[in-house]
Amino acid sequence: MSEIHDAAAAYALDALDPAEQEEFELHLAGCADCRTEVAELREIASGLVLPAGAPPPPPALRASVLAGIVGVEQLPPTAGRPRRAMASTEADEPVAAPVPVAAADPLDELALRRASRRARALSFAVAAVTVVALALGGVVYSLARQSDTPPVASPPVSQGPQVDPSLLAAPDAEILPTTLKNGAKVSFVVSKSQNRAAFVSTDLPLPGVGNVYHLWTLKGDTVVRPDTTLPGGTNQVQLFSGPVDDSNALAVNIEPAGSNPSAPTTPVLGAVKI
Amino acid sequence: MSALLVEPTTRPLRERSGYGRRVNLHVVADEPEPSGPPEDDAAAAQRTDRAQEAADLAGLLRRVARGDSEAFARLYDATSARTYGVIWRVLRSADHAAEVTQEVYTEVWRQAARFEESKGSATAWITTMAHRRAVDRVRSVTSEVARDEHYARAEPGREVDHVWEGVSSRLDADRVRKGMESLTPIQREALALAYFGGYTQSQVAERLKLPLGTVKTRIRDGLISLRSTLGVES
Repeated sequence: MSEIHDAAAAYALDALDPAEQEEFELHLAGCADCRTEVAELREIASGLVLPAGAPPPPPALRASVLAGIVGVEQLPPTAGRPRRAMASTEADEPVAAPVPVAAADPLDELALRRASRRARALSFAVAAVTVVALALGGVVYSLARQSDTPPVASPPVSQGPQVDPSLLAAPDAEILPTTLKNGAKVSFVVSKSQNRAAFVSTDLPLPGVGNVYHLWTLKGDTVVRPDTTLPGGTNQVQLFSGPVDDSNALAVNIEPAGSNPSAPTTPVLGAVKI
Repeated sequence: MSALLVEPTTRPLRERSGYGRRVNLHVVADEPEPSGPPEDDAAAAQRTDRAQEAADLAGLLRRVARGDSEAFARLYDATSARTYGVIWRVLRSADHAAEVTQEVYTEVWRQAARFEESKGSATAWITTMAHRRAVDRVRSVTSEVARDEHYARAEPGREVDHVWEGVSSRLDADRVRKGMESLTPIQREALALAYFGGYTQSQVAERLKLPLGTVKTRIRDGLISLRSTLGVES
């Protein structure tokens, strides 16, 4: 238990490997002490970096950076938080509002960083995307316990390198990034209003000979439904066969190809609450 | 002079975070380090300057959040040397550093509304983003072999010295040098390899031939002991 707290410093320095990082982020979502410590340590670390230690940025970079933001949509303040940054004046008034745990800054920022690359790859037209980072431990455990849910037909769904723009354009579309246990950075794109979701990865490691990635939807605490499958590789986009709108989580693992399991037979690699 | 007396503008931010208890218990030295010299007026003035700078940057970010591209340009001017600096330190390549710097500022623009002053300074917010991306890049682009060669040229200690020499090469960096000198060699090396080398703590342990637990502890207590010397306040 204390071991996980010890990771705060290494986390603040980005010195955890992907598995450690994922573990610590799960912990971080529920540990205000560690969030504080990480924030503090980052302040210290940022003080280590003095401009003197490196060459100055090339002058041309300035124009490039300033040109680079033209037409780039800005994200709204994190969902579920007071819109302080938009609404407040310059006054330095104390703000007492408690911060929801699920919207914790370090996690959220990290999620954003991960999402941003994919969001860019997907489309810059995603105006209303909110990115939410959630603690997933409970989901994973309850998913792993399931064994007797009825199989659901998994009709093949068309694949392509691009997420359907209409999914991204849905007003409630969310990009939910996560890092799989095998280190792959992936996102789930979800619109409940459209009853659609997609699994997206720009670089998904091959699942091993004879295996496929298997997607799952979770309904309530007990119902796990097999959804569809996809191979590994670059620019993977796989629409869920659904239904999605009554699900509260999406998950992925690896299964033998063609096995059509009714419940995961291998550990879940990653999951997001929706 | 008590640290409390010279950081009035930053203290409220800390309290606002709602994390005060933990901070006071574990990280924040409310009083100057017993071993450290008392702050003189110059140091106090420097601290006030930094607090003012932090407030200015936060103000710029709020304007950026409202789509103010002029504020964005000013923010770039005020922070790009540090941002580019940390990225360059990790990547050691002007081309990569420029590319990642551009990515970072695009993210600053996109995410400005999500910056929360109560959670930390604008500098730390941007620097954190920059460092993460640089580390991501160095881990994905540079092959382990190439990077090992790069770092293996010198003994770990010498590489570290080189890093800190660079960091400390200006008068402005006196406090950093002081902080570094107050660290043990292991703390220094572990911090340098992790932060500027982009190594994971396990790789640092391997490189320094130390148990992972020792490296974890050194990284943490090294950072914390730097706190008073650097005068870092959010």
